[in-house]
Amino acid sequence: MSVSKNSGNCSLLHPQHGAQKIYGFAGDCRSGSPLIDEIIAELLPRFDRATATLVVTQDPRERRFLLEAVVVAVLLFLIQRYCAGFLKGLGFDQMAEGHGRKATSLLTKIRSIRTQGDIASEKEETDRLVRELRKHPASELAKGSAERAVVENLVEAGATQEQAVSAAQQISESVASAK
Amino acid sequence: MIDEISYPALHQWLSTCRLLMRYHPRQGAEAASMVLGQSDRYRPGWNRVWQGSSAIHPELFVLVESGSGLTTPTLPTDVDPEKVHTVPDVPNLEFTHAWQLAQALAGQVVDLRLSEFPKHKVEQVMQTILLASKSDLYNVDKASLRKFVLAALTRMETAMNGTLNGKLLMDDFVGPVLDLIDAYLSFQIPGMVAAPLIAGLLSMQCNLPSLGPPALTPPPARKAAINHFVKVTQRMIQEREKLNVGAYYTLTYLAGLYSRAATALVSDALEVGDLTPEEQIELERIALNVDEQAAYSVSPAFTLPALFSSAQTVEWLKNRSSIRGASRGELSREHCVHPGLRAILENPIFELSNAEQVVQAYQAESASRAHMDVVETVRGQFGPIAPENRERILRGLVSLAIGYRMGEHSADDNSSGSRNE
Repeated sequence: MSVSKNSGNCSLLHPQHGAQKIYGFAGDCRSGSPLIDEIIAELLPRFDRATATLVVTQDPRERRFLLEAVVVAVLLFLIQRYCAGFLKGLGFDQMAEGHGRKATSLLTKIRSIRTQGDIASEKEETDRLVRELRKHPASELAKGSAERAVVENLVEAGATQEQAVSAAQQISESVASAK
Repeated sequence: MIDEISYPALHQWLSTCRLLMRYHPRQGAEAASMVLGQSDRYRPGWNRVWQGSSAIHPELFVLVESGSGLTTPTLPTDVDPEKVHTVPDVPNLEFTHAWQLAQALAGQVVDLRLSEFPKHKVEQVMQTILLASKSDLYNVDKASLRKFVLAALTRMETAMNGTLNGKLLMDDFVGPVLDLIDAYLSFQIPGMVAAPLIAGLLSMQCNLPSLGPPALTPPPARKAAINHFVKVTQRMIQEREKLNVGAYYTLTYLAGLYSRAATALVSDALEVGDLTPEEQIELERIALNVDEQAAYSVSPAFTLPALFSSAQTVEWLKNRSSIRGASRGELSREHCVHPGLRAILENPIFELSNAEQVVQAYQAESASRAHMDVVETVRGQFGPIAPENRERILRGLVSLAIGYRMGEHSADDNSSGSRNE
C-alpha cells in the first residue's frame, strides 16, 4: 500500500481522536486521493488477518498466506457489505440489493484468484459507494444494519461473534472517521 | 515474581524454550532457521510435505510464491505431480542454531544463580527438550499418551469415588488437565503431546460416570470445548497487549496450546464422524479460524526474542524494514513483537541508542505494564474448561453423590469400588 492516513493536512483533524461522527456531512478535503485509500490505510494495520483469511478461504482445509493486496480486497468486500447494509437500514432496499450483489461478485473474484488480484476497479467502486453513503443523514439504525451485515458475513465464514463484531465496529469507525 | 526481561539472558533462554516446546523442538528450530534465511527445505512452486500415515491428511501440498503461499491437502489437477518437490525432513535438533543458542543461554541463566531457575531445573528443561526432539515430528507416541491418560484417569476416578462417598471433589476431578497445562508451561511436555492429551481429557471428563473414550463424548460437550478454546485464545491475544514482557510471552505460549487443543478436538470430532455435511464444514471453519489466529498471532512471537537480544531485534527489524520496504510497525506486528519494544522501534528518540539504552528502555516499558500470573489464570479467567462443561461435570458429580445417598446407584457404586481397588 502506498497510501498513508497522514497524507494531507486533513489528517490533523482525524475524527477518530475526536467526537465527531461523520455520516452525511463530511466533505472530502483530500484532492486527488480517494476516500477509500484513507479508510483502507486506517484499517489495514489493525485488521485481524485470521478474519481476512476466513473470508478468502472457500475450502476450509486450505491454509493461505495472504498478500496485502488480498487483505485489501477483503476489506473492500466488507466495506461494500457494510454500505449495502447501511442503505438497507435507511430503507433503500433495492439499492442495497444491487450493491449486495456487487459485493458478492467481488467475493467470488477474491476467492477465485490464488494469490493476487487486480482490485483497482473495486477500489473505485467502493469509493463511490462510501461517498454515496455519506450523502445520507446519520442514522444509528442504518449503522446497526450495516454492522449486522458485516457480522453475518463473517460469522458465516467461521468467525466467532466477538471477532465479527470487533471487525464490523472497526469498519464502522473507519468509514465514519475518514475525511 | 520477577519479570524475565529484568535478566535479558533469562528472557532469551525462556524464549528459546517456548520456541522449541510450543509444538515440537525440531519444528521450532526449523522456524528459527527460516527466519534467518538458512532453510532451503521448501522451493518456489509446489512442495509435498509428508505428515505421517495416521494424519487426517497424510500429505500436504504447499505452494510457495513470492510473498505468498497456499497449503492444501489436494494437489490441483493442473499441476504435474512429478514436478512437485518433496520437502526433506527437518534436521536433528543438535545440529541447529536454535539449540546451540539455547545451550549457551542455559549456561548464562545458571550463572545468574536465580532461586526460581536453579541449575538442576535449567538442566532438566534442556534434557526434556532434547528428549522431545527425538520423537516423531508427525505422529505422537501412543505409548506415552496412554501413560499420561491412565495416570489422569486414576486421579479422576479417585475424585469420583470421593464424591460417591459424599464429598464433592470437583477441583480434584479437573486437576489432571490443569496439571498438564502447568507441565507445558514449565517445559516438561511439548505442545505436540500436551494438546491432544488436553483434548482427550476434556472430552473424557464429560463422560460421567464411565469416563469413557473421547468418541463417547456428547457432541454438544465437544462443541462447547472447541468454542471455549477459540474464544479464550482470542481473548488472550487481546489481553496480552497490556502486559509486561514475561506475562505477554507466557500468555502467548498458552494461547498456542489452546489453539492446538481446539484443532485436536475438531480432529476428534471429524474422526468420530456422524456429522451432517453442514456440521462438518462448520467444524472445519472453526479449525481454520483458530489455526489462522495461531499462525498470525502466536507462532511468530517466539522466534526473534529467542534468536536475538532486544537491541539486536530492533536492529534486525530496522534492516528488514529497509530491505522489504515495509514499515517498522508492520514488521513488528508481523513478528508479534512485545508492544514495549514496538514503541522503542517506532520512537525516533531511540534511533541512535546503544544496546544498553535499548535494554533499559525495554525494561522500563515492561515495568510500566501490568503483570499477570498466567499459571493462576489457568485456574480462573483463562481456564481450559468451558463453563457449560464445568456445569455438566458438576451436575454429573452431584447426581452421582445424590444417587449414592438414595441408594439408586448401587451398580455404579460397586463398579467404582472395584476401580478403587
